[in-house]
Amino acid sequence: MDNSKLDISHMVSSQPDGDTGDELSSKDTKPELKDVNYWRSFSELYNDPAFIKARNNEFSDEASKPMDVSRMPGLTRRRFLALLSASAALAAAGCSNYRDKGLVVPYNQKPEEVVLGIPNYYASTCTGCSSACGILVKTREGRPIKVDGNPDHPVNMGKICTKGQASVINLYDPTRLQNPLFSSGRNNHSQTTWEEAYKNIAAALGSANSSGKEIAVIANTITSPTLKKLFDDFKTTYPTAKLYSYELFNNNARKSAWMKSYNKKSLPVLELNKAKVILALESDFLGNDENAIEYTRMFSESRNVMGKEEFSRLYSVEGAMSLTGMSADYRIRLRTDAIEGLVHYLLGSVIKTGDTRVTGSLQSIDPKQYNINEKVLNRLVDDLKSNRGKSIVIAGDKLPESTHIAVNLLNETLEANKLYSSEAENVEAIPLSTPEEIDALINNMNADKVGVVVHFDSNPVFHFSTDYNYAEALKKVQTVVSLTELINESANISNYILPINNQLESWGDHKTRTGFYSMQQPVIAPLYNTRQKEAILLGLTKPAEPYNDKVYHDYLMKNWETVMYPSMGTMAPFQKTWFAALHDGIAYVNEKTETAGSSFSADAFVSSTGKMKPGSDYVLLLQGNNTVGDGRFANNGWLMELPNPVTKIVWDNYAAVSVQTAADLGLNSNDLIEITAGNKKQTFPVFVQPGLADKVIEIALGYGRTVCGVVGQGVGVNAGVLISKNPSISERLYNNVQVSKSSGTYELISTQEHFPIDDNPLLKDMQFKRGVIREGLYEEYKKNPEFLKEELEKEKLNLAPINKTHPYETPEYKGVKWGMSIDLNKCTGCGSCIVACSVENNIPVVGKDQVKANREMMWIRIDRYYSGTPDSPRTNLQPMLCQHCDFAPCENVCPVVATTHSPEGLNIMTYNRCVGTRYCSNNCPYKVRRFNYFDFRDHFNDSIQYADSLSLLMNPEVTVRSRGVMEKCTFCLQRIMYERQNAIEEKRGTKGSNVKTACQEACPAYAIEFGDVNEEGSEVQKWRNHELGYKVLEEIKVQPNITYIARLRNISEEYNKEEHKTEK
Amino acid sequence: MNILEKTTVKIKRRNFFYYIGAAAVSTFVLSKFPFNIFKREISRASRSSIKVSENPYAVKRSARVSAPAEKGSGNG
Repeated sequence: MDNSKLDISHMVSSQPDGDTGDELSSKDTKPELKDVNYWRSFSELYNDPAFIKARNNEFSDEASKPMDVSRMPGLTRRRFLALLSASAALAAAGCSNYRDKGLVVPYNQKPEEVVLGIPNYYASTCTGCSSACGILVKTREGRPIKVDGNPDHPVNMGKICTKGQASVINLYDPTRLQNPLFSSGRNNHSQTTWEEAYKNIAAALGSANSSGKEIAVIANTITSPTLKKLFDDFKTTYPTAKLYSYELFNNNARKSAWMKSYNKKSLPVLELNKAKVILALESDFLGNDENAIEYTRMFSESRNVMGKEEFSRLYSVEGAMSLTGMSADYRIRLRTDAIEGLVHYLLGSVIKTGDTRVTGSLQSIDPKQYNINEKVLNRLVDDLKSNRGKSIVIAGDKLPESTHIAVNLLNETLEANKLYSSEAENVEAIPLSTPEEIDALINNMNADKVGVVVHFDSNPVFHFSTDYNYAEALKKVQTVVSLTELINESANISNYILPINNQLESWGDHKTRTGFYSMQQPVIAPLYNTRQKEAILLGLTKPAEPYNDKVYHDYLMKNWETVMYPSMGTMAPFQKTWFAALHDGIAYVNEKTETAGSSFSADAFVSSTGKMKPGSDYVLLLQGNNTVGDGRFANNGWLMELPNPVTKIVWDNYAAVSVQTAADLGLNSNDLIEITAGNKKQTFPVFVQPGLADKVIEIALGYGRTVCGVVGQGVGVNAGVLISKNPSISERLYNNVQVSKSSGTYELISTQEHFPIDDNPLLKDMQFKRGVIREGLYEEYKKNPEFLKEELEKEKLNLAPINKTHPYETPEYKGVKWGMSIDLNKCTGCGSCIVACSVENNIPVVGKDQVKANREMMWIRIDRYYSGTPDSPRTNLQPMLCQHCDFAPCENVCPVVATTHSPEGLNIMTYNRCVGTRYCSNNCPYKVRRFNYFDFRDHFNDSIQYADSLSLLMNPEVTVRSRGVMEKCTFCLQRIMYERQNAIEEKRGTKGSNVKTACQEACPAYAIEFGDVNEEGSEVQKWRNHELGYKVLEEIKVQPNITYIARLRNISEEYNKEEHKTEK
Repeated sequence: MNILEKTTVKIKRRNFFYYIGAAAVSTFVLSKFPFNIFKREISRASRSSIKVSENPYAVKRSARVSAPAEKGSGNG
């Protein structure tokens, strides 16, 4: 869809902000949800002819260009036979040995721990960010093939984020560094040996040390206590060594605010599941802010329609459009630099202490000035006041220290400390370096006071503010060493590039909270000539000692035996304790939280007020993301191709602006704008995003890598160049930013309009009444739990197809019948299910050009529907995958019987029968089938996916599909088969609740249930029979086997359909 | 009409065998042709010999969730 052709000037409305769920009216006593106008994009909302054309055509123009027979040359009989023979000969030759598959031979000496065909699991820790989540790695015949959360981990409890899910591909990345490299001139590096590198680096360290020059070790967040000890040992050997640590996405403002407010270092652990009212201030605690996995689980617990617990109520105040905002009951659009003023307004409304020092310092904004809906604001104040001890305010990481201090006071006033865990606190092994310390380092480098710089798996050239001019300062350092898995911007200008082990090849221990350690163990021996980064540092500490593979393992174990083990108070011998800790991935210790009882410092509040004043010009928000992280996942194709949860854009970052802002600046999506923040400029493509606050520009960091693997290099624009070392507000939030339109355009690709569920021309008047999305009000549900069923029953009378007798005999599924349920109250749209599915089912990366042609291959998509106005839309999310219909319309159109129905109700594909007619996809009402237009592994990026190392990634239980084959969700048939095999061995029946699909296992919100719908008492049966359960497109009588639980909004009033509906 | 008269050019017996032989040789050559040389990435990657082995010091588990008796067994 070409969004650039859309005229958006008429989209601008003057509706007040903060109106999500607040189209208040007493006129209607019953919500008319089916009259709500759902739309997925501007093209759909305004009936763009191109969108309508695409919707009515199953395949895009790109996909189905017709063949003009009349233009074909004539063919004689002789020529026909000649061509036929030649084709046969070529086919025989070409197919005989197209690719060397290698030999399949049995083990000569089978490793003890490997049983062919049976997976092993290893508990470990993810080091993809500073959260250090527990992971469980599945291996087959020694190859790690899947990473999931460790169910025994007390924080993430079996769930991990998209990056963690996709991290397994990093192990096999063919562009990983495989040998040490050296270059005296810091360009054109050549291969060297470890021995040579060690010898020379140790000499450089010794020389720097003896001459009194600093040895700077620059790392990301350190969470390992043993690594901390190793740094201490390193410093003992080289006294001039100094450690610097930084994190692009840090919570420094929150930590320093906590310190000033309570004189405590440790941040509390929040128990959001006990909160009744949650106010998120520019906080994406369900998406990209820290600890999102745990918060998502807790939030979903408080939105459980299966129990009878009260629903929590989520308010979100934000300038951006985040996953948290999309899940909110009430969402208030507000430019980010005015949020502190709103906190002061709330303080003024709820504070009861009468502390004149505090109340006298309040600098509230006028809500009317920012067009905030008064009714929503009043309700928020009432909710906060009436739920003291059960309400909490969460400020986002981007907000400055002063806002966090104000929020701490607000939480104190709301008695939110009752929602702080008394059992655990957040801890850090080594605090991050302050900007002053980094500044001092750069000054020392420029003054030739630094002899050696070691990039300890970090990339400061890409991450540090350009104000530091770090790359230039590096030139003045005699020896630069980079320890890294992949080439990066910092390594590229180093003398030594030392390749390090992947996280799945490494040992470690991590501590982020009191009470336990998270253990990291290697699940595979190093694939290449690499070494663990800690082992390299250890080797440099003792250069005379010969290296062996278990050097850091021994160091770690010794540290545990001497330091941690005695403090554990266990009666078990150390060896047993050690193995148990590795087995579980967790070692619990008896620890107390930091002494409580300190009270809030009013002085901290008084001295910090007024530091963030709302401006009148543009606000720039530099955001996190669920794809490339801080850039370290840029070479991960699965993540690059994962649609952004909000915009659905793939393979790019962009400047998101509101509809009004776009109109003001004369912009459309795909235009280019130049953003000037202080003395820094950068040009970005524009995406017009509904729901953004006006004059707010949102850009994701981590893109625009100039040196990395072939997948991520040059993808997107580096927004990090706009970061200032002395920001007026915070590192990721700037106001008074200048914006101007640039010439030219850049095409962004969004999957939002791909595979739309079409409007059946036979049912024209039903196009807004098809009930794809059904929602209701929590209050309505409490009064009448059957309201949705009654609504569906009423609809049946109007829907002729439902009342007709089905032409086929209804099959009886008396044994196992597989089905799935998805709770739309819990789904946050994070995308973990999509990545988990891709990893489990060997789904290839297709590339941006193919996504543009509607050829993405992911088996699940998360449809995002807006309703209401483009200014302030309400959002619904719906994971959409094969519905395994009892009367699957795909089955009866397949001419070669490649898609059939199993006796257990599965719609199954036989790949080697499929001839690629695509009739099934054409006839699928849900548009969930995916066709291999190419052998995408071959087609994408010079066949990189056919590299030897990446073939080790494949799940051997799932066929690797090739060109010309249709595919779709199988309900993880391989996992069903595994349970069936176990049931046979154990001489019992198949138990549905023993099977967990990959998406279900990954979902951090526990929104997916799968199993045998005939299994009495099973969760999936309960969900399937729930009063809020409904099927999508039920009226066409294909009898889908996925039940959706309708979303409830916890808002006090009912919808006003007249206000809510947008005229087309 | 004689059926042979339909053909304007008759193939010689000797040529026929030449063609058959050439076709057989071509087929053999094509079947042995290393198509991988056209795939730069593959040839680059296949130069590295990757050996897979589990780390002998790691501790595996046989199922996703620890058995109750095993869970926390190291914590006294």
